[in-house]
Parts: sequence; structure tokens; C-alpha cells
Amino acid sequence: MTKRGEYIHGRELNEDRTFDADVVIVGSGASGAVVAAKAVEAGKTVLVLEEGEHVKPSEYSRLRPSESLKRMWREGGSTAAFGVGDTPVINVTMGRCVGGSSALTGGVCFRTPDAILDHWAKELGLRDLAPRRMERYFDDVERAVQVETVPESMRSRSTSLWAEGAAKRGIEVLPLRRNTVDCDGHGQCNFGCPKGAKMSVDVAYLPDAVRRGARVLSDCMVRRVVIKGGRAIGVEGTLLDGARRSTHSVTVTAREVVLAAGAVHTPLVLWASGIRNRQLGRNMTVHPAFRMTALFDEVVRGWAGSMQSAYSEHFEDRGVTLVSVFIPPFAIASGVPGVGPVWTERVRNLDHLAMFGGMIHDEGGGRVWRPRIGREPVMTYHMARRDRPKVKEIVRQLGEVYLAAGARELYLPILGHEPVDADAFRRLDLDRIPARHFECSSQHPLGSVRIGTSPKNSVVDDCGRVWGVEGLRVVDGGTVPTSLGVNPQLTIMAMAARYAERMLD
Amino acid sequence: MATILNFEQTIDDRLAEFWVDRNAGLRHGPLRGWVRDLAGIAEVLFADDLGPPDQGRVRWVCEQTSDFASVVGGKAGFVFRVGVAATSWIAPLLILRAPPLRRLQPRDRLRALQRYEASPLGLSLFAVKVFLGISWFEHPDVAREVRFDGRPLRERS
Repeated sequence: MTKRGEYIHGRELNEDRTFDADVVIVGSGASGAVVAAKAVEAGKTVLVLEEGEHVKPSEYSRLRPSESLKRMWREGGSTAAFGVGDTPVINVTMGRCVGGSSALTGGVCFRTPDAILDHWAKELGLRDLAPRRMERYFDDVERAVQVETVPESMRSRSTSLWAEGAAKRGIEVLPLRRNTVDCDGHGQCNFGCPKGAKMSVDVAYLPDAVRRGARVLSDCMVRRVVIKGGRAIGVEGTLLDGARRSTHSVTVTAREVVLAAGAVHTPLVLWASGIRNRQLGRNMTVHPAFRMTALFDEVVRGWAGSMQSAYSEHFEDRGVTLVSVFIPPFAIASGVPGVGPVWTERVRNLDHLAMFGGMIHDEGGGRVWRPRIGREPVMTYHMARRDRPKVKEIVRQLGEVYLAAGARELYLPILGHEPVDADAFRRLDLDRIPARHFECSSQHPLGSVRIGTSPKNSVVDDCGRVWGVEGLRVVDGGTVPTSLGVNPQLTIMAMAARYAERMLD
Repeated sequence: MATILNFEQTIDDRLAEFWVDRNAGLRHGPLRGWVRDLAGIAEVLFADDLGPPDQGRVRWVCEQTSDFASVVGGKAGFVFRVGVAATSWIAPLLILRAPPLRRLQPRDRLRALQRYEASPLGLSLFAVKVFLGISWFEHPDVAREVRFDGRPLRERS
């Protein structure tokens, strides 16, 4: 029998294991960790199962990006949603480690916009999610992860240049809020903060939950929820070794089963558990995101500073949010067009490159499919006709702002497109370039297990309970019913806090 | 594009012989299968005006990338290998040469990749650039060449 309150490395266990808990939580990311902390605080015995490895935050500073990609990212960060119709292939990145994607985000914290919560409450009938009712959950999680406003002094030169250009064009740039404490601006948040400044849930929630008695079992992939007589009674899964091969079985009995495996993987567990619901796997939104790289004469060193520090909601009415970002050299270089000497020459200017991004407040069109082969689901995304012009709007605005800031050349997020100067950029007819030719990424898959008022329009009710099954809840980003238009970390955590409260009532 | 690479052998010629890593004191055999196709791409992709990168570096990045592709999981690794195969077998056709790419002279390989990148299939070369770049840009020599120092904004003593 394992002791209560500890991290257990599944790869070190050498026999089949059984566990018992009041609450078993599948997934240790932003939602699972919050529910774990709340449940253990309420005196429940809690077991958290995490498919990924437990990389201690103290190890982050020693990880090279390639090691972080291998050990902490799902599929090394190369998961893709295949575009249907005139839609780009979207690189959808997700964490697979203790702390989940929370350990790999840029730390951006937005509360759900009131307009969105109002829409949910009034149009979708989710009255309990109205702004006034959600406020205390946001207060609660913001305190726990220590959300602070990024001071201007922590902006990278890359972001400052964009802000200067934006000011010339009358575009307001606002400081972001992030869950960081005493950030030094390493610009490596995506690979686990090397300084431990980011209050991801593996830093802010899980250690406290473990101190109070929660157990966190890493390297454990849950295959299905065991349901008997319409009630969830536990889960079955398998331990994984370092090469992700199954080793031994894991069986857990529990009074409450909580799925927090994320919008892409929770549907898999539900399907494997026999849940049949037409909405399952559908309605996924991803906030398709695009980046613009600009070459300046001055030295920029865009990596030095908060990885994300500022944003603009100036184009909110057009369904676009612009957000600062800087990514590691290999990712920048791969987006720089060219091969051979031309490419290597361009890449040698890395310290002269600036970058800013934008994301679409999308209408949806994403879908998760059961895999026919292998363990990983297939994702498709059909960009709504109304969203396609937004792609061009992002590129247009990002480019114009960098040109106003004095950029010499722009590297457009269009596959294979040569760099352009100001004249060439303005001559370019972006509207004639198909959306599928754009380089697109997403860190925000949401909505595949959405909440609602009936099994006809949703998979779970407004308390996260799976329709038709007692004792089974979903608490992750999959339940978010529509696109948010802002980074979803705080929304997911606040909704999880609310689900936990309902479960423990 | 006027660039002409100043080396004339195919990647098969250059990597077919046994190679001795003097630093590690190891003796390696020739690269096998799809990794050889990858080397055919990498050698031209990372070439600069002075020619191809050091052979040991090409070999190193291909082995690192091959390892990465096998560790990150079945589907991603498979998609990457398909990307390598597509690049290696389709790119030469765009300049009316017979595949695979690795059997072409470097200047033809360069032309083929340039044409391929601008084609609707360029996405697969993009994926290959990402995967190769993950290890390539971590090499301290490369980091120096691209002037990436990785230092934070606020340095403390």
C-alpha cells in the first residue's frame, strides 16, 4: 500500500497496482490540479493520474528545449489538426507532464470577458456562469497562482518595438497579466520556467495538495472509466515506461471520477468508457494563431524579456486579439523562408528579429476523432468562412505596425513566401492567398466536451456531470462552451474551482 | 537564385564511408534508410556560402533528429518520416530529375528544395525544418553563429 501524500513515478513501479480513493482525477494540468487541491482540502482522499512524466520544477533550468519537448510535450510539440477545406494545418501544442500545459504556457492570465460569460448565461442558459457569480472563483484562482501585471520594464525589445509602431498607428497596447513572481525575463516559459518564477499548477497547487495528502501518480495512462449500473466506480489504465510502452496495469476504485485530460484526450477516455453522445468530440475551438517576424537594423535580442508581456484588443470587434510572443530559435528559424545559403544568412540575423502574434476568436469547426490506429486522437479543423478574413487581418495589422516601427523586412507566416519590404507588403494582395497556405498554431483547444442544458446540446451539465452517468465529471477545457477570444488558462481554472465546489457540496 | 554550393558529391558518396568521430572515439557505420534521406536534405538546408556544414555535424543532427522522432510518439514520428520521404522523392521531380534527392548533386538538391518550398507541398519541408532545427540550433557553435546568447533581461549576480 502506497503512503498517502506523495508523488509516485509510475515508471519505477514493477507490478500491477490497485488504488482506492474518494476522488480519482485523470490529468494533473490546470483543471485537475485545482480540483485535487479543493478535494483534499475538503478532507477527501485524492489520487491524481498523469500520463506524462513528473519533471520537477527544479529540473527545468537544466532542460534543453529538445529535452523539454521530448519529456514534457505531447508528441514533442508536433501534434496537428488537419485543415478541412480552405484551412491551414494547425500545430496544436499540449503538455504531457505533471502540471500539464500549465507548465508550458507563457503564463498569460485573462479572466473570461464579461460579454462571453453573459452570452453563456443568457443565450446558452448557463445562468450560474454569469459574470457576478464567477467573480469569486476568478479571485480565488488568481490569488493561488499569484497573477500580476507585467511591468513595461520586463518587455523584450521585440515587444517594445511593436508597441512603438502601434503607438504611431494609434493602436493601444496594454500590459498582460501573468502568473509569475519575480520573473527575470528568460523568455523560456514554454519549456518550463528555468527560474521557477511561473506559478504553474505544478508549483502553485500540486505541492500543497500533496502536502495535505494527495497522491500524484505519473506515467499512468487511463484507458477507461469503469461504469456499473449507470455509476462510475473507478478507472483502469496502464503504467508506462520511459519509452511510453505499457508495463503494468493500474486499477482504481473511487467514489468520484473526474476527467481533466484536456479537450483532446478526455473524449477518448469517454468513448472508451462507452459514453455515446453526438456532441462528444465536436464543437472544438482552438483560437488559430499566427506570428509575424520582422527584421530590424538594430539588435533586438527578442528572447530577453517576459515571453509574453503585452497585447492589444484594438481589433476585438473584428474578432482578433494581438498578443506579444517570442519563440525559441529553432521555431523562428523554421518559419524563416529559404533553404541553404540564403536561409542560413537570414537565420544569422536572429538577434535582429522581432516577433508579435495574433489569434482569432474563432467560431469553431474543430473535431476530435477516435483513433483507428495508435493512441493519439485525430483532430480536424474546418475554419468558418467568417474567420478566414481574420487571418489576413492579423497579418496586415502585425505587418503595418512593425513597418511603422522601422522594420526593414517582414517574414510573413505564409509557407514558402519570400520576405517582403514595405512596398512589397503593401502591394501584396493577401485576400488572394488561401488560408491553407498560412503557418498556424494553437495552444488553446477547447469545447469538445461542452457544458449545456441538455444531452442534446452538450456532453456534461453545468456542474460538469456527464449526462446519464452518476459520479463522473469532466472539469477541463473541453467543457468551455464557446471560444473565448483570450488565453483560457484562468477560465479553465476558475471553472474547475466551481466544478470542485459543486462536487464537494 | 545564383547561389552555387562549392561541393560536388552526392550525400551517398559523402556518407557512405565509415566515419570516425575523433572526439567521442567512436566508429560509426553509414547512415541507414530514411535517415540517409534526411542527411541529403540537412546537408543542403544548413549549407552556407562556404559550403556544407561539417559532416560530423550533419551526422549528429540526423541522429539526434531520428532519436527525437522515435521518442515523441508514433503519429508525430510517422508524419515526420512521411515529410522526409515526400521531400526526398517529390522535390527532384520539380526540377525534372529522378529521385531520391540524396542522389543529386548539391546544386540540384538546392534548386529542388527551393522549388519544393514554394510549392503547395512546402508544408512537409517546413515540418522537416522544424524537426532538424530543434537539435541543430541547440548546438553551441550554431547558437554562437546565430548570435543567440539565451541571456535573460535581468541578470543577477
